[in-house]
Amino acid sequence: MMPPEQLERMRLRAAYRLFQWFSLEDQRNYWQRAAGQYRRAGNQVNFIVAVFAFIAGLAAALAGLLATGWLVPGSFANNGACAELADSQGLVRSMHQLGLIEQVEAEDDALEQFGELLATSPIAQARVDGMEFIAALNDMAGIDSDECSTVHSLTNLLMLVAVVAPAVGGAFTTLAGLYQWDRSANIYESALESLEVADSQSPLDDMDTLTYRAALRAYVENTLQVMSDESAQWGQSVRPPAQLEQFLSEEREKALRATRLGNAWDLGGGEDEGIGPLG
Amino acid sequence: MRPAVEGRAPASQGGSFFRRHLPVWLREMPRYGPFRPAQPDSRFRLLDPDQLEQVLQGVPEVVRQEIYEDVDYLEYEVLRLFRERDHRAKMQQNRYRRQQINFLLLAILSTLVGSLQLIALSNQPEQMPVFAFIETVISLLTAFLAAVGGRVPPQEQWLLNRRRAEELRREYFRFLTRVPPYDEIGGYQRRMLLAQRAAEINRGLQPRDAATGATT
Repeated sequence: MMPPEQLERMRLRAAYRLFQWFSLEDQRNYWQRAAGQYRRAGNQVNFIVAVFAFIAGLAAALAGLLATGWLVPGSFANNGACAELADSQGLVRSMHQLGLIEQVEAEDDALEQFGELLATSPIAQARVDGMEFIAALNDMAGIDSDECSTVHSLTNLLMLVAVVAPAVGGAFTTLAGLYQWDRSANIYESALESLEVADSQSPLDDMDTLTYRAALRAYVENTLQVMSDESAQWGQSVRPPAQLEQFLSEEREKALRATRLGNAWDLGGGEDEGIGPLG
Repeated sequence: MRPAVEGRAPASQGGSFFRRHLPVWLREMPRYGPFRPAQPDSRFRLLDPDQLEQVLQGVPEVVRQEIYEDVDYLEYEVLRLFRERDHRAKMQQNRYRRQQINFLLLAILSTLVGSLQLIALSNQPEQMPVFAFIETVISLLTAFLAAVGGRVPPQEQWLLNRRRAEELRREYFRFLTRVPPYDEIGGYQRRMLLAQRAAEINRGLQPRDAATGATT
């Protein structure tokens, strides 16, 4: 039979080992893993935000380059040929709408038909030199309309990317605000440092039983206090991102306006008469 | 700082292998569809039985017996409540994140439609009513989601359940290591005190001290 004091010592020792293994080490493991993961998540999202910002800037710059190089009047790559072609095509469309030329298969045919019109119409001949115009049309036929339409499509696509990329990048910034990866990692790292302080008070085998008991108590109490402080700090960091709060409030307002407008249409207008068609 | 104990995952009810091959930020994304596990995991223990056996090697039988009795008692009085609170906290966390991600997706959509609207204004102004309609639908959908999720605010529920779960976890180890208020009493008094304090924590109250009745 073991003496009571020795039994008590064994009890305290077992309590220490249980707490060390299942509470302190478990918590340490969790914080270390979580802090590492959150740092990585924060870095990954930061990288994604930077990539989308880069893509947006690059797309906008490329769109600008293509427009000034190929599409605007006097462009440096083709001396404004695409702009002239677009103007002419616009003119042909207008002539078609006015009924001066017939429906045609392609715009090149329309230009040809328009040339014929100018060459034969006494009204048009009075204002435009038909032969000169035909020569201009021939020059225009030399413009590569496929190249112009490709550059135009590409510019539109780049403009779309320049619009979409910042929106996606902004969404990732909001996501980082929602998850608070960096802030949580800071909290966990700080808690780990405090845990080291608590752990430094752990009881040692060569202590007498009274001291061992006091050390165990200080060690357990301080560790539990670190955990409690971490919970409180972490709780304060959890809040919806300001961007989402603002979005929510704006959309609610819009929805309210839309509902009011709908009611006004249904009921033939509200107090401020004249909103809907029946008002 | 010591390295994490090799190969030992922290005790948790959550599946640690969920989306393990994805980037870390994607692993944190909420689950859509029914939340799993639907019920608290009744097999979950804060003290893994095999590891407990390992830790208690060389401990006299009488002490081992006391510890196992305490663990059994904690199983009903604390762990049962802990599992429920922990599970509810995880469920509400998922709900909160899902709600916020939904708002985030709607915000992206709204920004995109707004931007396209600006582009269309110069190129195809006749398309404006279509964009205005899409914008209105997004606003109505946002208001609908906010109204549906606002009845029981998930963020509040998540934090409340997490706080209580963590407090119950601390109480578990307080009892097991016999630190105050469990140091100077024994037998049924110590057990009754645990039951009382666990119930109070679960209700969101400050647990009371054994002798004085004062909050600790």
